[in-house]
Amino acid sequence: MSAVGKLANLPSKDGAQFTKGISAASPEASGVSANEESDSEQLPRTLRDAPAKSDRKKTKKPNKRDTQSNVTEEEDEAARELLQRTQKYKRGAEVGGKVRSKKAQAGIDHAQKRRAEAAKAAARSEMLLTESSGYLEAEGTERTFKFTQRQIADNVDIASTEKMFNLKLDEFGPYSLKYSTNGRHMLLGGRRGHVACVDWRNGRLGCELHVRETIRDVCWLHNESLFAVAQKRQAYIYDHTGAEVHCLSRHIEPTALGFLPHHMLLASTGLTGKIVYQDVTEGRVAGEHRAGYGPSHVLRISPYNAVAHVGHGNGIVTLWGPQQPQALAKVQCHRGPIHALALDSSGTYMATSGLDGHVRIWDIRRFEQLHEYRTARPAQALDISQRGLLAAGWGRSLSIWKDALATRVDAPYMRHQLAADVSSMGFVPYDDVLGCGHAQGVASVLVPGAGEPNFDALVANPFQTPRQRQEAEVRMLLDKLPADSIQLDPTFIGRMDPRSRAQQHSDSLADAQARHAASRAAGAHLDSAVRNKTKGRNSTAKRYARKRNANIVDLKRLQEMERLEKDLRESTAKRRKGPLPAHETGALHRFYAEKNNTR
Amino acid sequence: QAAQTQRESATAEYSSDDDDDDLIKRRNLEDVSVRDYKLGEIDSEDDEEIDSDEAFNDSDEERFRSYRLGSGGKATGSARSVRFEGDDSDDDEEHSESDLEEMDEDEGGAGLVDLSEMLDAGSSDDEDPADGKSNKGKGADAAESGLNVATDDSNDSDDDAFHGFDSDTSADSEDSAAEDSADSAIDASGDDAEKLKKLDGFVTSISARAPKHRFVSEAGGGTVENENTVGSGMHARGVTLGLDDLLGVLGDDSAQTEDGGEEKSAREMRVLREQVRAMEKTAKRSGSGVVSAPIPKRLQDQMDRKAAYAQTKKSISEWQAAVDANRAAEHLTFPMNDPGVRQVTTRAMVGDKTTKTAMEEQIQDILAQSGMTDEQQRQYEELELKQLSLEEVRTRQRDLRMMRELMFRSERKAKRTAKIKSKAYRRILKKDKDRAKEQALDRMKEDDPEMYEMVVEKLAKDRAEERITLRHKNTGKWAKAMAKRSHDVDTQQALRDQLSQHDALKRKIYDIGSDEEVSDYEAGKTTRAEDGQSDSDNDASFASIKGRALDKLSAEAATADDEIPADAPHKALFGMKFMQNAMQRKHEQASRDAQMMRDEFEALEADVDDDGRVVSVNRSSAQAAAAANNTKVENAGAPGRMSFGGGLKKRVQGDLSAVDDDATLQNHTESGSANDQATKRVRLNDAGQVAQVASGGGHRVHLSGPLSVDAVAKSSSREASGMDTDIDTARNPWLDESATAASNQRSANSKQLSKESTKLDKLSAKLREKRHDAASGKAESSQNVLLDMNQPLLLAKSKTRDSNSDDEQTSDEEAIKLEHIDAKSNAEKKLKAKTFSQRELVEQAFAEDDVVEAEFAAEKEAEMELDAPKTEDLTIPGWGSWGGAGLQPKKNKVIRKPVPGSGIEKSSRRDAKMGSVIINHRQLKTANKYYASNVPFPFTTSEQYEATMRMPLGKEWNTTKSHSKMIKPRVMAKAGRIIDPLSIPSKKRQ
Repeated sequence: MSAVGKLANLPSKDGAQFTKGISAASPEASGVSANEESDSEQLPRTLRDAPAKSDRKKTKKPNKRDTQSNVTEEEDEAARELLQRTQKYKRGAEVGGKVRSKKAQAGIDHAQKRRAEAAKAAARSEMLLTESSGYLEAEGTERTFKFTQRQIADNVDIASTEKMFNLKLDEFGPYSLKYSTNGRHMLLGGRRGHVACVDWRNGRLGCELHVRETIRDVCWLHNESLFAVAQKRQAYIYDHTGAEVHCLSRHIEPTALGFLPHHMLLASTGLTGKIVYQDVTEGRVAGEHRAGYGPSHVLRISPYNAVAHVGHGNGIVTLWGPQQPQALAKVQCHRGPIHALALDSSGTYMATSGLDGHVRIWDIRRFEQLHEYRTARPAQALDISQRGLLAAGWGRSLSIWKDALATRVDAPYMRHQLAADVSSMGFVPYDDVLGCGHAQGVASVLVPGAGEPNFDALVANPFQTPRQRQEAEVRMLLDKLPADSIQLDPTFIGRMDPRSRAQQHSDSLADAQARHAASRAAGAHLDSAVRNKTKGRNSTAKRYARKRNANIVDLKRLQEMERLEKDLRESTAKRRKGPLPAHETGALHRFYAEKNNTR
Repeated sequence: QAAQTQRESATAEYSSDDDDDDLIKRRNLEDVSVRDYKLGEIDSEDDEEIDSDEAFNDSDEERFRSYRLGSGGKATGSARSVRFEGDDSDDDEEHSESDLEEMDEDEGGAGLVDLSEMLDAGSSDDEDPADGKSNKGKGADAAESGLNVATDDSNDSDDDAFHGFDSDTSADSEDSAAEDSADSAIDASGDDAEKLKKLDGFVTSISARAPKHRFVSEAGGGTVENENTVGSGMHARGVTLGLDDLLGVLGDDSAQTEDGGEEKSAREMRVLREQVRAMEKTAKRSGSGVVSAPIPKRLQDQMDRKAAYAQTKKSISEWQAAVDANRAAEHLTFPMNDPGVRQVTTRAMVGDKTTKTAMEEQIQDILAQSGMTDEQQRQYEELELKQLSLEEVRTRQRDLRMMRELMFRSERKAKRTAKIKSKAYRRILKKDKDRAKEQALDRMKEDDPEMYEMVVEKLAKDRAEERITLRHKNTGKWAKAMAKRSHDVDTQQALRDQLSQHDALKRKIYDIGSDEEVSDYEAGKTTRAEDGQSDSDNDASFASIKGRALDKLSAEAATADDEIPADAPHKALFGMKFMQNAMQRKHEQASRDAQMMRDEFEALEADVDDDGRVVSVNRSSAQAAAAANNTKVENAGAPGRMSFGGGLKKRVQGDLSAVDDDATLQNHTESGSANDQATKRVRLNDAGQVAQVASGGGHRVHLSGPLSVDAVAKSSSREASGMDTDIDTARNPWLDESATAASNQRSANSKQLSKESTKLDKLSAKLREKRHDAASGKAESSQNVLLDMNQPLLLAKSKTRDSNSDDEQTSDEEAIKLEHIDAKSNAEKKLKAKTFSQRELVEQAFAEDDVVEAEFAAEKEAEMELDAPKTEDLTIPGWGSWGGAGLQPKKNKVIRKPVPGSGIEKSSRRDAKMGSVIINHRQLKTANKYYASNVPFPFTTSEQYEATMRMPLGKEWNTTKSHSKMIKPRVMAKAGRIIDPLSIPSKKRQ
């Protein structure tokens, strides 16, 4: 226990804090030695190590140079670091090229400048994120995965030890559990009908009810005031008092539930093998798709693009959007049935576990398997924490890996034994806690470094007041995204249409025709048809003549007939006389007549 | 004759095919007047459109400039005739024509001739006839100029219909004006009636002499010349009438007048001549002998405008830079270049020592005179200091420093106290003040009774005043009346309302508000909450009780310890082993209970320290815990029901506690073990005992997030490491309270192995495990073996699918590598091989399962087919071919090729090279609306456009500053501020 081995993924900032906070107590801790070098050499490196490495260089160099150059060097270093961080916020490289209009070009230049400034400002503002992530640190021959919860409890503050607890609920298990988006509330669903929502940090029970039928899954809706329960026949929505609010009859025999917070959709999959989306604001079913692979038990919603990942019995994972009748993608992940699935918040990684005993890590941008781990028994539950810790549970054991997504690690970060077989698992957002539902209750395990230390109160606020919750609810409703905006690539909105011009044209034409046909079918043309009305067609006489009731002979009709007859007679008489002189037939003949008269 | 031709030409308008008229016209071209007439002629359709000034435009001006002086009169005359000609009726025309003639004869003619004749009359008899003629021409000229003005005036009139008449009337008036001038001239020459008579006679003689057919003679060309028709005739001969001619006439004046002795008129004449000469001189000086006529206003304006335009164009180019800059600017804020409010600091004001105004100078002078300037003061002080001794100076300086320091402190204190918002503090302050006041009064009573009397009286007066002015107490008339019928509920309510209103008003008046008048109860609460000190009676009593209880507990523990000395020999029954054991157990139980009690109390204290708010909750939970001390927690609540709060906490503690190796502690209750935990924590909080309690090994734990408090027990790892070995060994890390005893045993063993036992021990332990596994034969237990191995999970290589022996070998080797350093025994290797063979079995179970993959491949193929561009066979079988036996099938198939871009080629699919992935290429139709159909305006390429779209504008993704910058409107104007016109940058700089 003489030397300190730091875990590899600690950013330099943390390292600094570490030496500041802890080395005062133990002098060995601050001794950066060859041992550390070797330790960190053998441990996998990530991109995030770069600053740490440079830190080390920085500490060595000043011996050779004078102080002046040291200062400038530090400045350079800071500038370089800032640049590096800025790259993260620059969304793609700037595109060159000039436009013809000077004014427009000026506008584009300004926008470009603004973007660069914004990226820099965002990088700078990182220093406002004062909280650093936690870690476990082993000395010498120790391994972090050997640390027990007991040991951890001895080394953390009391407030944190209170986060470790066991709920012994051995009557209605196994339990499935979910945490609300701000991590404050826990929802428990016992297989045998027990539902409870708990403000778990304060140990305050929200509501508790027994539904008297099988519960397969539970799910919070947009906040802790409503939750959905997948029961035997269909899904139900309850409010925070435990009162039943809705019975969702379209979700037939649901096995897994998921909620899309930005679209306000509740998704479920079930024994029917269908994926059903229901809009919880309007109540309508936003989509109902048949996967065609039989009953499925696994559903997870990607926090990145809101695509639902459904695991099937034949080892296929299908990706769904609410509007598209076909799966967005299908991946053959395992040879046996999929047991569990987890997605990371960046939308990069997916972890799946199958009956074949593998845990596989996938890059879902490229649909490529990165690596696979083997578990002693097929993992029943998987979850990925906000900071990328992968937890897998099988039987009664839990195993948590750090940096296991991007790289392949050999040793787990932590391990834990549960009282009974694990059934579901979830990391608490913004906290270093992993909740596990098992056959005899629920266990809460402390996992240092799991949660995101700096929360954004606009996204999720662990200290939310009721007033803030109300406001956030309104905001969520206002900011609700339409269901058809879900695609594999969420940045497609506002992009150029990938279709060719001709294709666009023909599509729009077909659309218009379809719309027209639909409106005709709906009888819209009866109301809004444009009549081809020409001038003079509708005179009184013509209308009279057009009248159908020709068999009715009255005085007016007689007069009319008489007049017509007279006209006919005159015209025939004139014709008999022979052609009239030009001045009598022409258009101006009446003037001639007048002239003659005047004469 | 002229009238005749004119009439004819007028009719020619209507019958243009008439050849005769044409001829006449052609013949008349030679005639000046006719030509003028032709020029002035306006087509009937243009008549209304063209203004008179437009009718005679620039080019005409140039062409007919030469006519202006000479034949202008006639031109206008003809123009007048034209206007009359514009009338439709011939009668009118004739009439007007005759009118014109009459007018010429009566007025214009008279005017013209009048002057010339008069001059003639003034001149000698041997005067050259040409002179007279020229005089007449001159007169005509003057008339013409007058007419010109008139026509100019008439241009302004808007009504075209009466144009002709207007000009006519103006011409008339002009003529009359000319006449007037002539009259005045006559008046000037002599006022006597004789002269007038003479003049009349002369005029009549002229009118008699003047032929009626003057126009005729003019139009006719070769006519008789006389004085009256001189203008045109002279003109025809190329002779122009000048001022010289007139002057020549004036040369010999009064001497030759007919009536001698007319000295006055002679004088007048001379004056006139001199004037004319002066005029001539100025004309000569200006260059030409002739004064040029002013350019028409329209032309003048045009030229002015041109010049102005050129000037403006030049000056406006100065603005170009500024305009360009503003156009290219990102934001424009109006008022532009606003200097803003200049902040003048006091330092700047004080630092400026220069005097500016007279008054300041005066003050400065006075100061200087009285020796009060800074400089003088300083000198004076120096002098003073010189007079003092060193000690004195020092003491003074010290005093000063002291004073300054005290002032500074008091200032700071005042500042701090002013900031305090605590109501309690304010209340105390107020009470102090009151007390001080009372004391002061008391003192005053002793010291100065009179003054005291006065003060008391004043206070009483104030009070009385208050009572008088406040009419809201129940002492009022109304209130008394109301009180009588107080049995009524409404009345009571009204009275209550009145009282409350009174209170409110009083509060308002004296501004005793929320701050001071807080009830004692509330005050007590706030003090406790804010100060966090348990200084209230309640807490004190609690502490004392606790202290007593603790004392008692410790005393009892001591007696218990004394009772049973560890190794004392016992007699008889008590000496027997089982009795001793029983006693030992009992003792242990008792001590444990006592310890627990103590822990509970101390835990309470800790909790209070942590968070004052939770005091009551914890207290109750603690009591509950104490009550449930000996019972199992599972029995505490109803089965299946969760209990939160205290119960939860208990379980937490229970969970955290480890099960001891000791047999007695094996079936320890939860709460019992919880005590250990609690003890530890309590000691953690206790400052004096930190060193004893910290238990962690060489590892550190740090929690992320704002929710974590700094770890209490992070320090003193070295001290702790020595202490903790026993704890580590004693506790089973893998188990919580609900784990079975068997697994406890096993994992405890394994834990022990890792820590301290020898190799042999380990080996034997492994063997024991193995035996145990074999005995149980359960799958789960074998799994447990796997799980509890102190090594990482062994992981297969990613891409190797085949499960041959090689693979096994490699994984084995990996396993060995990853093996815990001191656990490399052959037995274990064998064990591992065995477990891996089990895993291999699992793999083998799935090894030949290609069914799923084959199905998936087929599905993918089908999908690809579906999406691929399709050719369509339009051949209808049997059509266009003969039927019958032995026929070959038709060769020419009608195939419709796919529309380009309609499907997706198999090779160009995204999933073409991905093994078992199907990506949907069909686009969602409803999502088409989210795409941009073409590149929006300023952008030329889609890349440019998409680059702009990438950056989010929302405040969720940007810093506040950059967000507000991004959404800032291009132009901003401050409300209510005057926006000045743009100033030229160059001028701005000046």
